Amino acid sequence: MILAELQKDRLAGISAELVTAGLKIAGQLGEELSALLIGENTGNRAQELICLGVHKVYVVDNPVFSCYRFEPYLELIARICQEIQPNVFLMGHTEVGQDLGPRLAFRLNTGFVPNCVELGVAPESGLLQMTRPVYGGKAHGLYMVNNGGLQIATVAPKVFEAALREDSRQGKITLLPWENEATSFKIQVVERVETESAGVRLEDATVIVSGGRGVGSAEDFAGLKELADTLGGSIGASRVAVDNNWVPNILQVGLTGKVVKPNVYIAIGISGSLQHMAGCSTAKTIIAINRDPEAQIFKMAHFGVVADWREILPPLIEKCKALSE
Amino acid sequence: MLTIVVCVKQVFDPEAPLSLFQLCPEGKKLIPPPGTPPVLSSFDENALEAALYIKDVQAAKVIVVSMGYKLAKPVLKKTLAAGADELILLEDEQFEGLDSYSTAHVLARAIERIGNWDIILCGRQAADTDAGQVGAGIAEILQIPGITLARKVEIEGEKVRVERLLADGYEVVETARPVLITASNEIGALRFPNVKALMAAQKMGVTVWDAAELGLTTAVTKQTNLLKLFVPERNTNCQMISGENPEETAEKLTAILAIKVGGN
Ligand SMILES: Cc1cc2nc3c(=O)[nH]c(=O)nc-3n(C[C@H](O)[C@H](O)[C@H](O)COP(=O)(O)OP(=O)(O)OC[C@H]3O[C@@H](n4cnc5c(N)ncnc54)[C@H](O)[C@@H]3O)c2cc1C
Ligand SMILES: Nc1ncnc2c1ncn2[C@@H]1O[C@H](COP(=O)(O)O)[C@@H](O)[C@H]1O
Repeated sequence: MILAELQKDRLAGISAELVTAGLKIAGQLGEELSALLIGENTGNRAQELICLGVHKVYVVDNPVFSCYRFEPYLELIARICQEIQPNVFLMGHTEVGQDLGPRLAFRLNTGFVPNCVELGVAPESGLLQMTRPVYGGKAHGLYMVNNGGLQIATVAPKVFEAALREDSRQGKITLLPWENEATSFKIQVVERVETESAGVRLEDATVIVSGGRGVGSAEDFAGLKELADTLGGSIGASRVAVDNNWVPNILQVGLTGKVVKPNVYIAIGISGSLQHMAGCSTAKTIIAINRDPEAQIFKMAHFGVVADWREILPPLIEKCKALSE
Repeated sequence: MLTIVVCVKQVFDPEAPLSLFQLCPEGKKLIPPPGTPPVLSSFDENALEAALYIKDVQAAKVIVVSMGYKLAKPVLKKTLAAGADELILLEDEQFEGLDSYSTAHVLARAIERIGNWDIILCGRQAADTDAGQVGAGIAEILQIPGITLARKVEIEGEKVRVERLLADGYEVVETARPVLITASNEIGALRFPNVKALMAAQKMGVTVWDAAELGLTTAVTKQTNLLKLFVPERNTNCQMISGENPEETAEKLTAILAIKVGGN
């Protein structure tokens, strides 16, 4: 079973990736893939999941779930896992999955493996084999859950290809009730604040111009933004740039930031720590501009320029502008 | 007075270059170069800072708990130098190589033993396991609310007010104590202790509890098994671009962009 995630009213990108991961596992186990869809006014989302390849969708539609809240989500999912007893429960390694996954596993007394980049089934035991980066990405570990019961994992974003829609697919949709009438929980949400970011959303951008410590200041990020705008993309940043308050934290790329998969990722003044690269290594093309020829980023980029970015950026913007005219 | 427990793990320096590490023969551990001292896991430093930030404005006792085997006391004493009141080490041979599940059980046992705490702070994830699991586990075992990914923690009378990270911003949540909170780097770096405080801290005593002391008579159960570790292959085929002058380099880069931006 996978947990479908919504982003505003639509299926979040991770949901289609979870379908791919889930179908792979279900296929190896010779089982059907089911999905759990939780929200308010979920409309055709259940049918969409079926068109993506899910065989069976369980829907819980209630105002309590109008947006993600830890307590009702946890209570509901724990109950459904106990009633339906899936062997495997997969979530995205998103803010939601990171919040829910571990606590769910502790509540159900089972093992949990976060941020999986590869999933398979052990032929003899039929148990899940989960691979995930550890030590900041220095190594990958292959894990299995000890007992044979429910196995819970979160799947790293942008690793599995999104499942493709086919409108002719058919499946079963089951509505499940939410019986808990409680409207107040121990944790109260006082307000939600959206950080403003002009232009293309980082996660959706086809081009990202990303800056690190080497950029030097908030003002200097304006130059990166100009290049990003010229190329129709977004800016991104390393954690150092975020910690220095040069850019808002929602632009952080990496292990503990966003995972992105643009056509082109331009890394400027970024050394290429594995914790950063964890967020962008699946980009189709990585271009690094760094003045240190020994910088680790040149071991991971496709194209590299050894230079002070301040010399390269102005002519680059000029020529890219000319190109797009 | 508030009692705040902060769980701090020692890890080897996550910023050290990969080339210095070796995989142990059984393939289950990375071995750092000899002689490199461990550091405090970075998000645990943020967690300690959140606790000290509370202590700045009201009466609070900050207790640091760290579990492991052959812990580096001088490194962990940095927490005392920064302003923690007490350091409790959970040290036992049994505590080596635990998974997140068993780690949470040992830490929860120690926290129960401390008793009378109001707030528990953990890092959002340890810099070696990158799991982000132990905090949630402690909260579930102790049956208290857990709030993850905090970017700010404040006390508001009987309540705790936390700003919690979301994908596109943050939310402000409130809950009564006791509560467990996991800290993200947005909280801010751990204040830097001065030399005098560092020296004074080295002379402060620490409490050490072993498994027996915690009443853990049988081996702690694990829920997950690490079968093996391996170093993933990486693309090292970088094509270097250069020109006679910046204009020429930019020209070449633009030509590459013209092709690649479209996804080719
Ligand atoms: C548990 C954990 C999680 C983490 N998560 C993340 C994460 O999600 N994302 C993330 O980014 N980091 C993360 N980090 C931090 C990460 O380990 C690195 O510290 C960080 O990515 C380094 O940022 P940087 O490359 O900008 O800075 P540095 O490593 O300092 O590199 C700066 C680079 O800029 C170059 N430079 C300087 N001036 C110029 C110039 N004028 N022109 C060209 N080049 C120049 C330098 O040669 C250098 O290579 C995490 C760390 C830990 C421990
Ligand atoms: N051995 C340990 N000693 C003290 N605290 C720990 C230990 N292991 C984990 N923690 C705490 O739990 C958090 C999450 O760890 P993990 O689930 O391993 O990513 C860490 O940031 C610490 O606050």
